[in-house]
Amino acid sequence: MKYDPWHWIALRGTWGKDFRAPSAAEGGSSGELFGAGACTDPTLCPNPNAHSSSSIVTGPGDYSTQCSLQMTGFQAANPHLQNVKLTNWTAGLVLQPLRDVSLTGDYYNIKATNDIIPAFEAGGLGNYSSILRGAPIIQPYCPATYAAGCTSGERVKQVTPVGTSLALS
Amino acid sequence: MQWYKKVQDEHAPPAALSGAQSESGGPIYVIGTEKDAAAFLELDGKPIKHFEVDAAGRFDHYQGVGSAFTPSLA
Repeated sequence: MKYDPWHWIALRGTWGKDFRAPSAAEGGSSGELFGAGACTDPTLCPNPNAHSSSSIVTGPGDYSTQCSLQMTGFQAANPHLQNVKLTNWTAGLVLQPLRDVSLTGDYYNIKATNDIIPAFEAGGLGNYSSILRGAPIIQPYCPATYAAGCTSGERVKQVTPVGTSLALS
Repeated sequence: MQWYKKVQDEHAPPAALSGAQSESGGPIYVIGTEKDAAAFLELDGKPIKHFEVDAAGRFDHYQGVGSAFTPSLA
């Protein structure tokens, strides 16, 4: 709406709601691969930061090779997604001091709810993403009795209790 | 009034399924249909002197997702 009491000044404002429906790639059937960066397996490396000052020391209860993994993630579509809802409003002023000169200033406010973002971005590993595991393999392990952590010579090789990670999903 | 339909049937290339190729920056496959039916009404006028108002409303029905009513005032 616009209110112009005199020819050289006008006040204007807008208000509106908007929405965006999930696309087929977001809510249908789709798959996307992404690089998840360096991840820590929470099951096979529960104490990654216990002794992170030195890379040769592994925390107690950790399989040292599972503490920093460059993981690939798989993002699937979610058929239960709802519309993204937006509410926006603006308020502004228009000044026309001279016949050929006008100055305008507007404030924009846009609020989005139910925005659609990747699950890994929303919660990281553990909240909405889980590890796809392969077969258990023999890996160097720091026994829990080493409360101060293990150097490379103190680690023992043993079979992991669960399979090692293949990817995130 | 508006009616819109979009069908996507992009399957993953064999190289992506075998693991030989990993794309980043977009889905490797998309299969789905988007259908939207919409009705729109807009009223524009000067109810009093020096004051102009434009009111509009739009109703959308997205198949499989739901409906949305989006009013606006300008």
